[in-house]
Amino acid sequence: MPHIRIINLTKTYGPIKALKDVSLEVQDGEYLSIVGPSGCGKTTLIKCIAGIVRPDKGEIYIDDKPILALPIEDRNLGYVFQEIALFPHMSVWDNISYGLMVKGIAPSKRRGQVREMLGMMGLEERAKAHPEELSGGARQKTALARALASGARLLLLDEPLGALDAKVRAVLRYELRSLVKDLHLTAIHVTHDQEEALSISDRVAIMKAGSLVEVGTPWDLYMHPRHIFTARFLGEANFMEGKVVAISGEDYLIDVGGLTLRAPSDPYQPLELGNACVLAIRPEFLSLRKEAPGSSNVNLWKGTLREEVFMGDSLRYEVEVEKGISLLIRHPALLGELDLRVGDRAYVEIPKERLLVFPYPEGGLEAQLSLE
Amino acid sequence: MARSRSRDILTGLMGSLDRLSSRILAKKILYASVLLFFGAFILLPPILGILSRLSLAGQVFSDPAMMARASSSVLWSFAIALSVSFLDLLIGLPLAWFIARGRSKWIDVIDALVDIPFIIPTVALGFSTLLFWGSPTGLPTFLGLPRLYPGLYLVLLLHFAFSFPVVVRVMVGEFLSYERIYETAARTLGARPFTVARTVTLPMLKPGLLAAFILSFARSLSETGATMMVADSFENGAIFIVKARDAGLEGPMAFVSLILILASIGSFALIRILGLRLRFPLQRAWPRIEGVLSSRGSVKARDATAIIVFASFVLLPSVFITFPALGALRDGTLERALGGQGAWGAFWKAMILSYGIGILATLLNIITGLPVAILIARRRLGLIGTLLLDAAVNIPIIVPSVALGASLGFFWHSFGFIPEFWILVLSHATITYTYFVQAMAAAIEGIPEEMEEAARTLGSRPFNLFRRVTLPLTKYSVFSGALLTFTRSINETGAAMAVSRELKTAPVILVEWVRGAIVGGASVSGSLSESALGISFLVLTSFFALLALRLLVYRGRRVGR
Amino acid sequence: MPSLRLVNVTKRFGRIEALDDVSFNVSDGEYLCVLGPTGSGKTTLLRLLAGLLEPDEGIIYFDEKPFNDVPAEERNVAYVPQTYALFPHMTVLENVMFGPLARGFQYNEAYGMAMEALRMVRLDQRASALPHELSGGMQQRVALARALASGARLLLLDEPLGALDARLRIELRKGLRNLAKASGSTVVHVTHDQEEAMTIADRILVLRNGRVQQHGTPFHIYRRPENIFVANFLGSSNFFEGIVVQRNRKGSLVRLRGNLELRVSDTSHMPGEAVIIALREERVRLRRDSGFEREDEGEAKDEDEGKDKDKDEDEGKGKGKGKGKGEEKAALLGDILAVQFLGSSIRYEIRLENGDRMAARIPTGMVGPSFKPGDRVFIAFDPEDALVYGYPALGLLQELEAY
Repeated sequence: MPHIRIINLTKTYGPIKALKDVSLEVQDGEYLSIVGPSGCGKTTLIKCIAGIVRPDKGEIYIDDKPILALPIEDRNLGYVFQEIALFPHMSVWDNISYGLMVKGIAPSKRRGQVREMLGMMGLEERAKAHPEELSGGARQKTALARALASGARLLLLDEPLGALDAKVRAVLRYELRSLVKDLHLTAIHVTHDQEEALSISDRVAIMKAGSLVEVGTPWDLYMHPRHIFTARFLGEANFMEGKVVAISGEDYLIDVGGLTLRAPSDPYQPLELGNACVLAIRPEFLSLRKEAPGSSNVNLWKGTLREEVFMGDSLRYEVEVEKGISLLIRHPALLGELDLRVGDRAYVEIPKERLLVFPYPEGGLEAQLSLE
Repeated sequence: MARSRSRDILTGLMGSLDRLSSRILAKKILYASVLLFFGAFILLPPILGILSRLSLAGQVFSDPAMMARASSSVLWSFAIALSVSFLDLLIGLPLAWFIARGRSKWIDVIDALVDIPFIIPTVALGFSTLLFWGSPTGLPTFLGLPRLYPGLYLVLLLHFAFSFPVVVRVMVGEFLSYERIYETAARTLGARPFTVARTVTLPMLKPGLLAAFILSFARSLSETGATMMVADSFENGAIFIVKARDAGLEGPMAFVSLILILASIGSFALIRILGLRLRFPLQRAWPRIEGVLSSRGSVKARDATAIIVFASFVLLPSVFITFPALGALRDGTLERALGGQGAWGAFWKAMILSYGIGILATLLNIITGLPVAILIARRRLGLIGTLLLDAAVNIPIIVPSVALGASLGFFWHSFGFIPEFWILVLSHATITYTYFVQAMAAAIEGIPEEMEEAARTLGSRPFNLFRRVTLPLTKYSVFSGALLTFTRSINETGAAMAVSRELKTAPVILVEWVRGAIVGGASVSGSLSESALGISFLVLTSFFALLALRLLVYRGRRVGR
Repeated sequence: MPSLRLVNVTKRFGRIEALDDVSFNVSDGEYLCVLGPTGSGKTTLLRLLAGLLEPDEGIIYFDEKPFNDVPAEERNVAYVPQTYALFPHMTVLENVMFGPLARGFQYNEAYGMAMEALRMVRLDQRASALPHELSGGMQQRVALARALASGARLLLLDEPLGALDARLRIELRKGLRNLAKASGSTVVHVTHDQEEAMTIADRILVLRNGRVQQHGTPFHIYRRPENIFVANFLGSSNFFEGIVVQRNRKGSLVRLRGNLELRVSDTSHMPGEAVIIALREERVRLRRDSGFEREDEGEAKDEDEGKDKDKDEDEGKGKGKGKGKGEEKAALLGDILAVQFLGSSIRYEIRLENGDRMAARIPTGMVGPSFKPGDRVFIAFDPEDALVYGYPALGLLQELEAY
């Protein structure tokens, strides 16, 4: 199972810095996803690993051997393209056996491995078909089989499910992970769909504008992001600007446009009195009530319900809190409907332990939140 | 943003035309009339022309000597076309690859040079080839080898040279528009570049390869003027027809024309069918050997060979004519030419005639060809209708132009009242029709249908759509199509020879001069330098036309069309 | 008065019926999403409405006037294809002015209409830009402005957000809807993304293989899907095969594989009938032990058959409207096969004691003890949430196949 080390990778296209000094390590047998908005450099990164793009600076080691000097055909990895790129003039069988064929292996000797691949993907019936006759899902599986047939241990996936319908994607992604784990491969999976990344990866790497923002397990990145962009890109979040007005024990008291919030301090990013900061809270962690609860709780804000949208498994409420701040709240449908109408007064409970606190970023909040 | 009154009137006029274009009847009348024109003036005349001489053609059977001569000429036509096309593909493919994919500062230069045999009128090519291989100042003498005299070998060399650019152009286009991702995919699977080319790129480009082969084949069959210069007593089908016409033997003329036409159509169909069956060997690979073939050394050797062959067999023979032409500038021929003395008077008349025919033929093609191009590109006649129309429109290039000219001659001359000038115009228009229509059809097809659909739903009627969307997006193709048509028309020899009885176009006169110079003794330098100069004047026309074409294409590319 | 009405519309391509007997109506100013997998006929439907295709059977009415013979250029309907189809040789302004000019408006008027549309999409500052200089999101807005400026009252959008990043798509949904509402147009928006349809539409029309599956508000379609396909296509559901063994006034008992029995409140199927039970993943609750209750309240409840108790004195998160508190019978038993983190929720793949597989989706904030693969869990759900359908003739897999 290959272990990959990427060190200070840089790639520039004229004025555009596609990769800025990116360093990343992928463990043996790990399923790593790289997510980010268009143009963040994630595809450029795996193309560098594959040899399709030559970086300007940096080095890549696979099993401690530097690979940048090797041409594409000698890197011995599997690559699944966003465009799928099955050879249109070859049948499914020939496509899958291509990798073995070019190694000089005779047709009779290839048969066993190709048949095994077909079986694993459930494509036995379609072996003689040509790509244009296949459904989207079948084409995807063929591309995957082709990449794996010649025995590569490292799999690079460039938006592998991008060409498929939303529903199909949600089903196939788990099959993808199972396959990789069953075969004990190392996989690097590039996608702009953060839910896809979260649901099937061992770790997730977030990229923006050519730089690596953060790497971690899905849970850590989602629940305890260290960067504003991570909080913004994964899932949804409400963002507020504030200032630290008091420190009490391990909590901060933060002033947000006149209202106060009690937030936990983070030993990794400590703030001092007077520091400007950004707060983030995910809509699904907020609770909406019609009445104020008995217990006094600093993190209880009063507001007016402005919008209610049915989202299927949940209801999305938009509440305008006094002083012109709006919060989005996600309420699971399972808990039943709230007796609230648009225009009603409501109370938003903001649990302290779910609040994320970040130092105010240089360059401003807008820049951090933008998807470019 | 005030608008002047005249603009308002124009807007009003456009509006009326727009509304008119929506009416189904108006559309039907427009398309029906162009189809009628196509049928009556382009498609039917050659067919009827040939049919009218069928009985005369039959007389050939009773003359065994003539039969033998006729059949052998036809066989030679096909033998030459076939071998030359294979050779062109063999050398042309590596060169095209080099131009499309290579990394060298010479590529742009070579790319431009490849076009030269295409730019130069074939009469010039013929003469130049003759001089290069056969004159005392040519290559063989330079290398101490015996000169090549007019005959089969010179014909082969000539045909190889002028079909070469066709193959390279088509394949460069194919390589440039090819989706590299398939090659990248193959390489990630471990295939060496040579293996990739063999198992992925070329098989996927099979249609392009076939198209290049067919075009080269067609060009070789058609070519008359230059072949006449370098043939001497050797005869292929085209030469036979011209000689028959000179001798006034309509029977054999019709016979060979008919055979050529039928055989051409047959062979194109055959090539298409066989081509579909053609399978590249994809089941095995030899990594070590193919690795060596992919190495830098091999690639350099391959490119160098292709360039050397190109230079010695295509480029130099084509431009060799510049030497005597330059000589003609110094030895007084130029003054005589400009003064219109002697044979030059007839020459200038012929040039004016050629230009006139060229312009009229081009205009005719634009007006009657555009609607047909739309019909084909947008499949307005349904699937089968479009296929038939497409095939019908292709006939003028499949059929050798000399045979086409002969049939057209038969047809139009039977209407005694039509002046020969108009017969020439119609013949030239017929021969160039296909180029224009197919170029326009391709350009129109390049406009995504969704764009037109969106425009329609926004309220755009057909005429409005045409002038505000289709035309602006294809105007470079219109210009380049027109220029190509014009150039082709200027250089057309075979049909002109077959059709004309009194009027002579410029290429026709030049062929006579050259043959006269040869017959009169190869060292009659006066006539040689006159021929060289005359041909140069003709070349200049083509040169400027194609320069304009290049500029337009570059402008078009920058604007994104 | 509905502004759009389709009556028995059928469209064939050769022998394939792209649309089969489709009938529905759209009210004036309504935002309708046509939802379905690839090949369901939704694009064909759009093209029929645009006038680019003619129906083989049936009539399309616009404002109660039959529309079939009206050519596209006279329909006053704006069609925005998936690729936007902006005219590359025209500036943004010229693109947007195209419609009004084509309809015969004078230049000055057309200019005014175009600028107003550009202001609505907030691109008036880029009027002189060329399409290829703009980002994907901006191009989409120009396409919309072009459609709006043409004065069309019906907007036909073919996967308008399809070409955009997942994140961008979510951001632009709201803007798209607001724009449509502000302009007062009726919108027919085609998509394969059910989440998109649910958040943006007033009503949804679900298509499959050219046939209408269901037509209603997002809420209605999600809560009461009329067939298995719709139940599967929107949201994520579990499906169980079983036979009804008992039925009374209050509900039925269905026996699954391996004699596992589920209680449901549906009474529309007779004992002995083969049925399919559909249960949404988010409607399933998990616990380590068998004492079942609402996770956030921590109070054990007794069985309470049939009594609708409105317990609004609870401090819980909301008032359940007597939704099955304590109506669950003995919990099902299962083993956790896999745990998938989806961000705002966690999905557990479970194998029940009878071998059937299912999944449960729990909001991340509500996850109590952390379950790991291999753990034993108790599973329960509200019998009201179990939707029961007759067993499909072609089998379950056929019905679920969304592609």
